[in-house]
Amino acid sequence: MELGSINLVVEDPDAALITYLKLFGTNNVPEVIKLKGLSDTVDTVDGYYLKTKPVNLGIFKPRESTGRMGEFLQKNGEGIHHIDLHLGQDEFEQTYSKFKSNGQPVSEKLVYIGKFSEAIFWLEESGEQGLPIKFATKAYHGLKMWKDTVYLDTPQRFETISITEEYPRPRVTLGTIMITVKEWEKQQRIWSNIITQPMLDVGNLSTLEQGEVDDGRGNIFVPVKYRFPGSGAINLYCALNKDAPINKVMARQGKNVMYHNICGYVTRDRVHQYWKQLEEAGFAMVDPKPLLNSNTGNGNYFFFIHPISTHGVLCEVVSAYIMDEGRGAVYDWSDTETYMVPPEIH
Amino acid sequence: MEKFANIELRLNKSAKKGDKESLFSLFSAAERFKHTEVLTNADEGASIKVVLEGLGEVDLKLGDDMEKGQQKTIMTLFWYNEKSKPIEIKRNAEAGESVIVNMWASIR
Repeated sequence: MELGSINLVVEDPDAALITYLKLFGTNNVPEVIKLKGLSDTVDTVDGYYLKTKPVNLGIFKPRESTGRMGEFLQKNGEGIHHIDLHLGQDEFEQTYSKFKSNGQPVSEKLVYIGKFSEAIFWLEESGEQGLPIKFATKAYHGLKMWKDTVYLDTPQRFETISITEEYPRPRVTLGTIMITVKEWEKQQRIWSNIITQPMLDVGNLSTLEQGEVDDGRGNIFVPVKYRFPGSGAINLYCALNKDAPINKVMARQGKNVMYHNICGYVTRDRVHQYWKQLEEAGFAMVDPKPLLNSNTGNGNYFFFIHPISTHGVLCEVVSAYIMDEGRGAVYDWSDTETYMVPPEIH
Repeated sequence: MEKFANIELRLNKSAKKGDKESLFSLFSAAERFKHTEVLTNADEGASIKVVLEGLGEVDLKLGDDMEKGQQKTIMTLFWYNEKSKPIEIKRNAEAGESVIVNMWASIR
């Protein structure tokens, strides 16, 4: 299983495409697929699918105000609507059967996306995880449960588009979705069950020991990470202090669980340059500059971009690191250009 | 004191004399992200007197070095802790009211 994509609903997909190309840099988005009339029997959407490694970004406008995405847009405005989890076909079919037999609220039938030979089903927001999750597979043979599948000749049209604008950025990757929760113990159990892997406690990224994190913005929380083989990750944050801004945001939307923000990673020695590029491009930067995280020896710079400039999505950027099984977080110097001590010293 | 920046912002909420508010609580995100031009160079950590005309004032530390001519916002001038500092309100004010915010830097 992989975190395949993070998907937004927006009012104007063309404007959102430009925003996210400016954010990630056209050099970091090797392919953009334009989708017209993509249906899953509940919503029909138009938009774009950006190949932002390791996790893709979907930008969709629902045609109607009914349906999962349509109702979300009408009620909450633009923002993160769902994630796609990608599975091999056998695991996909087994997962659907397991959820259904457990009584979890999944799509009544699988949906076969004809023009891509892909199959999907939804784990609905009404489930105990409280958020919509789409499961998807690339079919490599006919579905065993074809009798429980709706075959759709969809999308109406798709094309890989060439981007003529150029917004050069340092290497930026999209890797993590942050989910804020209130019922801490319960949500850990639920997500471990959905993702079929144990959580990884990360208060201290270096030692992987559990601990509280103070983000310097009024939130004190214990993060839990689920990391996928392809480097995508889901983080659950439960604020321990009642007046935490992340709790206030959930309260404003009347939610106990929400997709809170996306997180990208940038080449370590170019964090400040990237921040400045984004400020000059008109993004609503939340702080005066990137903040150095000294919490328990973290050593990463990070910064936020306010949803007001990113179609309702809070965006976080962290200096790049990779997770090493034995050593925890290892700083990623793979494409660094500026240094006093060469990274090869190790 | 030298004029550092000025901007006109609209109050997000009503405030009463004696209330303790902050730049966060008084102004919506849309207002806090309005651009203002930096009028004089100033260093990170410099004390800026932020005067909400007729409403209150607070001294806040600059979050980074600033250069004359830069376009900044309330958000990019000050760190979270500074923006959250309490401002004692000196008169009753209504939501939607425009407030001129003058910022002054100490001359070294």
